[in-house]
Amino acid sequence: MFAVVEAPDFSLQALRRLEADLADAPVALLRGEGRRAVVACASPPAVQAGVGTGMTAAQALAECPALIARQPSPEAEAEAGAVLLAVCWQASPRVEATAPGLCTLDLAGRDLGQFRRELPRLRAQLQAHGLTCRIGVAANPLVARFAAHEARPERWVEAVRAFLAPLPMVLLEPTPEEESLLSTLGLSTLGALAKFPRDAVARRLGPRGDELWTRAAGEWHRPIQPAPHPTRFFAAKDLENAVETLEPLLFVLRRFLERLALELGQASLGTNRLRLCLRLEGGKEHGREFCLPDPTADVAVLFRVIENHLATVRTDSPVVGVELEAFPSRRLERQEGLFDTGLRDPPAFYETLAQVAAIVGTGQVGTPRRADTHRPDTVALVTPPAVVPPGAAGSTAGPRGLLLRRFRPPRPALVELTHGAPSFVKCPAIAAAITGTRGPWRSSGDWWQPPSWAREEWDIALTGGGLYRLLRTPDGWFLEGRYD
Amino acid sequence: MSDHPVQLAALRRLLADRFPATPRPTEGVVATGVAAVDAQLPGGIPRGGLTEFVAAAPSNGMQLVLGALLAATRGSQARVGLIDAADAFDPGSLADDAVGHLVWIRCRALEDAWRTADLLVRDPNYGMVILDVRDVEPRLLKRAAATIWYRLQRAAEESQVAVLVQSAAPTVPCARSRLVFKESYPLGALTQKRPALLAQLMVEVQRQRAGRVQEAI
Repeated sequence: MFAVVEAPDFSLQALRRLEADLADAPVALLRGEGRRAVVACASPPAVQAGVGTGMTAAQALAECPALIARQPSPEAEAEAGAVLLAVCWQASPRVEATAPGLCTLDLAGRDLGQFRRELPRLRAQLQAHGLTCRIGVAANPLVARFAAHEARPERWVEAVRAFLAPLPMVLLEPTPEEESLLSTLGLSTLGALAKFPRDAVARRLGPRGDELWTRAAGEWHRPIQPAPHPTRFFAAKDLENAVETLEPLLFVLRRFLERLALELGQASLGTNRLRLCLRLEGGKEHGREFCLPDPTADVAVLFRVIENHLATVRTDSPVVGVELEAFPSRRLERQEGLFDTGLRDPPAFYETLAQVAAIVGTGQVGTPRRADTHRPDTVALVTPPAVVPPGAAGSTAGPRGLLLRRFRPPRPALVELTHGAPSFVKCPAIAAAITGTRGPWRSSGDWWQPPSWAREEWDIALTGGGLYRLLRTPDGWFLEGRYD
Repeated sequence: MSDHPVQLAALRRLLADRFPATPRPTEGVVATGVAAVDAQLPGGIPRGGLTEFVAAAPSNGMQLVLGALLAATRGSQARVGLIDAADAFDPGSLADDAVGHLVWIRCRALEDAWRTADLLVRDPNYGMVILDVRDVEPRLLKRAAATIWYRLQRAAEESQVAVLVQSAAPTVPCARSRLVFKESYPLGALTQKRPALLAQLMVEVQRQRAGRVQEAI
């Protein structure tokens, strides 16, 4: 048995699924150039407004002034075709991309009863991806195709002859000469042709006549040519109108991700690296690669990563094209250790970090790591590891004394000295006599390369309580922080 | 056997009806490793709620407690988020390894701290979130709506994250516990060993709402 999944008005559906503005608008797809362009198909709102197939663009606009007239988009059709294939692969491993918007599935080895029960789910999944489809099932690919054509929305053909009998001859796609001859013989339906003696048709039309009869009788078989599974997970589209806001861009990217995730999932793969490229008006590009902690094919996770980034992006000019590539990676399968303290939800952790970085700025969030220098307060923030490494024994004890709370930047201070030691300090919010001091401790560094530094530190106690670090540099006195 | 959960649920409903003010049970606490603090709290900082440390005097040892808390959580490899509203934290005061589990967020404005806290408290990967607003101007803190704290409290209840707020004056209206650090250390404290300093710590409980605690980490 074979099944055929057909997306009627495929070119139009392919366009509408990638552009949010077209979803409920009257849209007509034109074929031909200039004044010769005629309506090839129209969306339901356009049909309701009186737009019909074969109308010229002017006629269609006269019927429906709000009509959006568009030309077919090969990129959108390729994207929709890939989605159609990806969904069909869930039902059968052997799927042929028979024609644009039409896939043939080989159901050999499948439980047909189960497949019949799955049909509504298959259509619903395609609908979720923006494709309305009809499905026909029959003993050979051609009859299944006719069944899909007649399906509303599903057709399961068991009595082949009875099903084919009333169908018009035009479904066999005869040449005008063949059509004329068949008409002369009074044959207008497939059933009439099938009743006609096979030899008689072959004598009049030659080998082609024999083929037409075989098709009309439902006995024409052909091997299907299964489509290869994708090895590159890439999507791209030139945007019809330059985009200046985020929503239309996210709409397209979500569609891309849904397809890529579907394809990755079918190959039992995930991705831990995404490449996004926005083509801007004027030839510039905005590119960004995203690295994820674990390979995943979860659309929500992948989409949030891109959405969080784009929420912070401002481009000089509108976006005229978009590319997205997912680099496949094997999904990690490991058993959690009994004492493993890895992340409960790794994507959520790195997603939160990205959101926080968008708020406070990149470089303002992370795990502190001391730089290889004696220069004070030199610390780098690195991306936190997915698993907290076990602590070294006794490494957390730290030095003596209270911890410092830094004033960043250090607060300029006026300091009174008595016998060379500070005795009074004044700075914003603090003005007090110094009751005790420790120091000075002098240090310097980087004298061989600018900017060099030199400092003199004093620990001071103030009347009324409070221990502070006083700092003297070539630029003057500062309060560097409070011990706490 | 199968009736036990039903009976337990009925008992809980009965208790909730009779004692509506009884707080929800928490899933555990995060021990600070400081005896003076853990003794005043139910064994540590409770998960699923807000705990407030108030610095009523300068150089009172609160940062020392933070260091001990980081050491304790480092031992259990729990992830800790520190939202530093005034960018005052000094990692150089601690051993390098003591901050291997810390996610330090250096904020430039108080508004950033609120938004960041809201994100971190909802993230189930954090065992503890510390919001440090000590050196923030009091007028800015007063201007913040009380709903911020209630929002954080609800989020913490949901994610069961332990949230510690460090402030210079009582600020959190929905804090489950509030400890006040009143005593300043003398200059000699700068040369003493930290365990000895923690043993001298003076902490006073200003608020303690009862909560049932099942386990400590």
